[in-house]
Amino acid sequence: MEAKLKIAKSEVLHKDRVWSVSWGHKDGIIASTSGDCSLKLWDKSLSPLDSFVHDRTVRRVKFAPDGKQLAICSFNGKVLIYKLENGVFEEYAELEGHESEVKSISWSADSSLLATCGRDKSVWVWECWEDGDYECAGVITSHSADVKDICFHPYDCILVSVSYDMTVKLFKEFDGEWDCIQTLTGHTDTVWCASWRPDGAKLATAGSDLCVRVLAFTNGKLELEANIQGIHDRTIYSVDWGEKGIVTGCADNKIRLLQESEGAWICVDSIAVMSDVNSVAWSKSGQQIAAGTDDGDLVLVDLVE
Amino acid sequence: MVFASIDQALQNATPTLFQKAKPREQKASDWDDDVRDPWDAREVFELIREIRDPEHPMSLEELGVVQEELITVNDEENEINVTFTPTIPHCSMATLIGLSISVKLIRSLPRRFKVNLAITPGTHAQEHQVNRQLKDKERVAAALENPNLIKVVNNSLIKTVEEIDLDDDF
Repeated sequence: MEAKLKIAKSEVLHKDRVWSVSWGHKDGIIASTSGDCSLKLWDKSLSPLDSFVHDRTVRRVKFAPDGKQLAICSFNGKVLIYKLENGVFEEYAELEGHESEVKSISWSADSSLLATCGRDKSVWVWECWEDGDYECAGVITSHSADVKDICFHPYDCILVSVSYDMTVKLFKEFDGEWDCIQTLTGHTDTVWCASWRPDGAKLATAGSDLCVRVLAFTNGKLELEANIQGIHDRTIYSVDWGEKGIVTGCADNKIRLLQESEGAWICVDSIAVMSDVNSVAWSKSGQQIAAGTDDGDLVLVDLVE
Repeated sequence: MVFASIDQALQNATPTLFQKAKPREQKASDWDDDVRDPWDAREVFELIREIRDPEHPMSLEELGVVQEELITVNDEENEINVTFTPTIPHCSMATLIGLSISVKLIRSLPRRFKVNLAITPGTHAQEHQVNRQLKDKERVAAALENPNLIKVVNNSLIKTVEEIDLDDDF
C-alpha cells in the first residue's frame, strides 16, 4: 500500500503540553487534554466547541464508543465522566478510588465498563449502570509499579495493562473477579502504550526501549510475533492500531505509520512535528490521525493513498 | 517519588569542595554578528553551575556535582547529555538534585533540545532507579505539580544565598 502522511492542520491550542487526544461520535468532535489542566473539545476542523478547566494536569481523555459520554483522568487521582445532554457535554460523575495520579482510561466495546490505571500500581474496573450510576467492579493490584496504559479488547472481556515495571499484563473476568492470566516480560524498559488491532487478533505494545512489539492473541494467550526495532529514536509514547496500520507517536518528534509488508513491519511514512508526540489516534473513518505534542499543538494528519 | 525530609541530619557534613572553572576563553568569532554561535557544553554548564545544593549553601559546581567535562552538546542534532555526580553514593537527595537540574534546563534551553540527564555512572548506589525516574517525563511533571516540591526546587535555583527568603517552616 503506497500510503503517505500529510499534515492537514496544526495549531497551538493549549498552554502546556497536550497529553491526550480522542475522536468522538462520527469524527465530528475531537477532545484534547493538557498539562494546562484543561479538557477542550473541538470540531473536526479544530474550531473550539467547549473548554473545561481543572486543578491539575488532565492526563487522558477517551470518548465512549457510543459517543454519548467521555471520561477524563487527572493527576489529582480522580476520574470524571461527562455526558452529552442537549447537545452539550456536562460533568456527570466523579469516580474516586485511585490514591495518586490516574494515567489512563479504556472503555469496553459496549460502553458499559470503564478501566482506569495509575501510579498507585492498580487497575480499577468500573461498571456503568443504565440508571447512570458508576460502581467499582474490581481493583486489580498485579503490577509492581506505575501502570501507564490500559486497553480493553475490542469485543472480549479481556484487559491489557502496561507499566513502568516493564511488563504487559493480560486480565480476564471470571465470575465477577478479574484475574491476571498472563504477564509478558519482553520489553526492557517502561512500557508506555498498548493498542489492539481492530479485529482483536493482535496487540501492539511500545515504550522506552524504542521497540514496538506485536503479539498474536490465540487461544486466550498472547505470543510474540514481531519486535519492531531500529525505527524509533526515542521513547514511543503512543500507539494506535487502525485498519490501515499502526500509527505511533514518539519523543523523536515523529508520527509514523507502520505496516506489514511481506512478513516484515516497515515504516511506510513519517511526519515530523516540533516536539515530543504524546498521543496519536486514528479517526473512526481511518482517513485521519489526530496527534498532540509537547508544544501544546494539536495536529491533524491526512492519510493519502 | 520519595524525597528525604529536609530537616533530617545532614547526610554529608563534610563535603569536598572543588575549585570553580576558569572563565571561558574568547575567540574572535564570538564578536562577529554574522557568525552563529552554536550551543556548547560551556553554555549549558553556565546554566547549571550555580544551582544550590539542597543541604549546603554551596553551588553544585563547588561541590563537584556538575562539571563542564560531564556535559556534551550536539547542537545540530539538538541533543544535550548531562551527567551529575552526587557527593556521596547513598545520597537520597540525588533525585531532588536531578529534578532541579532538569527544571533549570527546561526553563532555560531553546525548546528544540532533547536533554538526557543521568547520574555519572558508578557514583550512586541507586543510579539505575534514579535515572529511570528522571527520564520519565510523566513522573517528573506530576512531581512538579506538588507545591512543596516546586518551592524546594525554586529555592535551589535562586542564584545567591542572600536572595533566598526561607519561610520558618521550610
